[in-house]
Amino acid sequence: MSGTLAYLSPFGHLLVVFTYLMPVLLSFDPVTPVVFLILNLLTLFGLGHVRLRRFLRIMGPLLIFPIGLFVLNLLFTDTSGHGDQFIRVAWLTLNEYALHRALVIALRALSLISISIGYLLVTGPLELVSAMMQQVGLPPRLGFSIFVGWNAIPRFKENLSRIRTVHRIRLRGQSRTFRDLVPTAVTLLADAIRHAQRAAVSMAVRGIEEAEHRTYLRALPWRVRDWIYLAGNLAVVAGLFAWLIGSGLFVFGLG
Amino acid sequence: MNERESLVELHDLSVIYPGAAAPAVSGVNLSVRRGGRLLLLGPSGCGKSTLLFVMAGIIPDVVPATLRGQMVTGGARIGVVLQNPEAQMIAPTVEEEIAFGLENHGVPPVEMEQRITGVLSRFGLEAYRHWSPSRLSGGEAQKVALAAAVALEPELLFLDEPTAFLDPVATRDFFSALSTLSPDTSLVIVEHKLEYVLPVVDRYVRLSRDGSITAEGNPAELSRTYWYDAVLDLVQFHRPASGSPQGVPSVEAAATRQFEKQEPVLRCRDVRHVYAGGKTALDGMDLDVREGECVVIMGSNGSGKSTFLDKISAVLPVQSHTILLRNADVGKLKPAALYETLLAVPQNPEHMFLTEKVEAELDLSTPDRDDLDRIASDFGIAGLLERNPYTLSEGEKRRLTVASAVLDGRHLLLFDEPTYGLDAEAVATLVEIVRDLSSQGATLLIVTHSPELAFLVADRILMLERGRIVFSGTPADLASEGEIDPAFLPVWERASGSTQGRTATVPRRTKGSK
Amino acid sequence: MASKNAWKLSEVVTLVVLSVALGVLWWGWTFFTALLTPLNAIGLNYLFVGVWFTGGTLVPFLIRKPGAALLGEVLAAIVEGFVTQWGITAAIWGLAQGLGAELIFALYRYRRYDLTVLMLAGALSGVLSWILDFFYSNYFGLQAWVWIVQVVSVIISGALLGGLLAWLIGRGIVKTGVMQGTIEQDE
Repeated sequence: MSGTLAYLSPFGHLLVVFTYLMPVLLSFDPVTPVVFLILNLLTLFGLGHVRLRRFLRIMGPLLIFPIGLFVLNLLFTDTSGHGDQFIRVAWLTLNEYALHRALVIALRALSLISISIGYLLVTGPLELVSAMMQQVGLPPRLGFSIFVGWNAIPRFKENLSRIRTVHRIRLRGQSRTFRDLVPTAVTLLADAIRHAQRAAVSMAVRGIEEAEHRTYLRALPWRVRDWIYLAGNLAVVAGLFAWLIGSGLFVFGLG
Repeated sequence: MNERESLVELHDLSVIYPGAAAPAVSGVNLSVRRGGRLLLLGPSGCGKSTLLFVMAGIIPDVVPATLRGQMVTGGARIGVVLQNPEAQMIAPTVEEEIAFGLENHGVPPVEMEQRITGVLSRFGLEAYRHWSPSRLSGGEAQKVALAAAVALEPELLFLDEPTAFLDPVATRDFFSALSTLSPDTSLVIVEHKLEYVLPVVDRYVRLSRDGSITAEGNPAELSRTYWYDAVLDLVQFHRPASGSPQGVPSVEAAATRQFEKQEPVLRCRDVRHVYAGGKTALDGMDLDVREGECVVIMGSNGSGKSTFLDKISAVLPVQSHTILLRNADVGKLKPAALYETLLAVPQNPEHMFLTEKVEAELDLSTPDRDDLDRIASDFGIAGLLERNPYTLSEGEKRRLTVASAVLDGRHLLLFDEPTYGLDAEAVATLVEIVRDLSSQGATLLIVTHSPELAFLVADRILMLERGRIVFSGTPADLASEGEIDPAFLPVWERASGSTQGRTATVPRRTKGSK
Repeated sequence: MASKNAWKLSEVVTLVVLSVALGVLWWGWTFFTALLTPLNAIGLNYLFVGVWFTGGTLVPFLIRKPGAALLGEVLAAIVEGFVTQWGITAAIWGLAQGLGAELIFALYRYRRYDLTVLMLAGALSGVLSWILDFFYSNYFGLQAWVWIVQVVSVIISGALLGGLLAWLIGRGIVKTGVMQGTIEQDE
């Protein structure tokens, strides 16, 4: 993982990120999502040493989702029973209830997305899987299968692009997107299955099935500091959550 | 086990795969003694890989099959290197890749570290230690696979055609790494590139197509040019002497091919390509290709061969150069026009498949049933019409893709490495197909590492280096340039001599015409 | 557990790698559906989401073991999540979708993998996914007719693009022979 987090377990950090997500998922107010969004950003930039530019670059295209939700809810909220108060914003007259709902929903989405992106910026799946094999008892067969799959992604991407090119040349540019879907999938996936079977042989001959007591080149034990990080975060999150509830800012709402 | 110490013994062994009609291997008696280095030879489908898999314990534990007879093993430590480089890269980094087997066997981390450093430096792989295996080239990956196997300190090492998908440079590199093996490591290897493997082995066993042993002995009896002789023999054998079916030329015909006076069908001027990262793949190439010519393009990996083909087929965009196809700018043509007669035959034939039956594949290319039957028969796939294309052998798949192209009226064909993974018989058939296409007036551009293919079919050979053409001439010219191993000269002369009998261009077969 | 249900190494690896490849394949579909985002407003975007349930339908069709639907869908969703940068939320949705499919297969005691079962699995995946969306995007406040359009769309999409499409692709794959030795070819 990056920055100071490099001293900690990626799995521990995953648990921490989940604790940021939970309050937001349970809330329906404009404050809670923002509070945990900020907490996440603090961890990201403060401990993870992620650069702001990189974060913005990745978040950018994803903003379409919260914005879309904002518009959807602004326009289509069922305002019966709440239809009397209106707010004037520039040249628009907006129903206050709908506006409030749309805002909250958009903020929630924004918060959830950025918290989960944050995890990806700080660590990768390979580190997480390695940590889980050593700390949480993820079976090596499964863990290494995930490595195989991960390593194969460039191969699959390239295959997909080549298959499409070959189809285009064969069909002289005629577009057959829908009719091509099944043959393209069959070609790509049959190759993937064969690749998997070969990889299984390679893993088997190197003894993965006999691994009763497996050693690791790079040891990733769960350490005291991981407990501290987890406990510390839990305390902060619990504290913030309690304050939000106590001050009435938190509003429970699932839908 | 006797005192001469056999590591593995097979007694009257037969192996049948699930759903197969005939055994892959029948009644084989074989033993591998300690310190022995055994070579398994034979045509595709003869069961040599199956034998290797049984001895390595892969069959029946990982790959299901029924065994009859006996396999006796002393439980020696083994290592295995398979054909496909990428399928053996299963860890996040190269060093973890080598550690994988060691970790499974519970080797302590300190010792692991030592062994890893040891094999990395031994095979010259230190620079790759922290790389992701997905970044490695095929040759590098196979060396890592070898390192991973060797790090286990095996008593018996199995190698299943380790260089099947490697170019000549990577092959040479791999075998020189293999030669550093300690003499008390025993070996069983399936391979056909004898010019590289002969120094490494001390015994060979040859299997026939029905999976039984037909010969064994000292490899010194075998010729270094084994593979090339095999291909040449098969090509000569299949070629009918005279009175051949329509379109198939007679080798004995007198006239040689004349190209100078014809209008070029493909004109390339100053072709360049620079990749997004700044790397120059093509550095100014000029080429004219005449109608009906067969041009073979060779060169080491990274010399730009495949990139050049991609430029011609407009897969890669124009970057300040011109390519004219019958005087039309390739960069400006619409797909329907560009691909009217042009087809890039993919390296993996499966990428072309759009249907579930061979017959349907061909039918996509033409509604004319007579044409379909005729071409199917010409290409030797008439008996396969009901089969699913994916179930064909590599050679049959390639024949199918070329047959569909021909049926479709394509006569400007680009081939990218058509010989990878093919056995001698399939290469010979490919040679014949290419010659037939050529004699029917098709224009062919073939990128290949295979000198045997080049010498047997080329009207002209181009050698590329770093994106530039450094040699252009006939196969005979190349043979006499003197850059070739003298031991192989007779082979090349035999091969290029046999191209001299080809007939002049006959009228091109167009869709619907006879 | 009976040995029939024990996972072989090749099955584990195949499941994971197949799911990853499926995730990559979905990536292509993402570009296509991105063009259709205007339809989000009237709920018709749900007509196209079925493709993303195929992890829970196609994968168990090929690897007929308990848990294959759940694992397949979650893994493919994670890959899709990484490639399109949706992150962890993709995994959560995958979990819901996979659970829906897994429930259907469990209902049939993991013995039936025909078209009907696949379509049901796809449909239930869709419903569970919609329920998650309901809370996450707070559909409660939307006008009721939007819900109906959404649910009907997601069921149709799940059944057709999640079930039927998976069945077609699955049969195509079986006919290529790569699954030889692992499942019987019907007819």
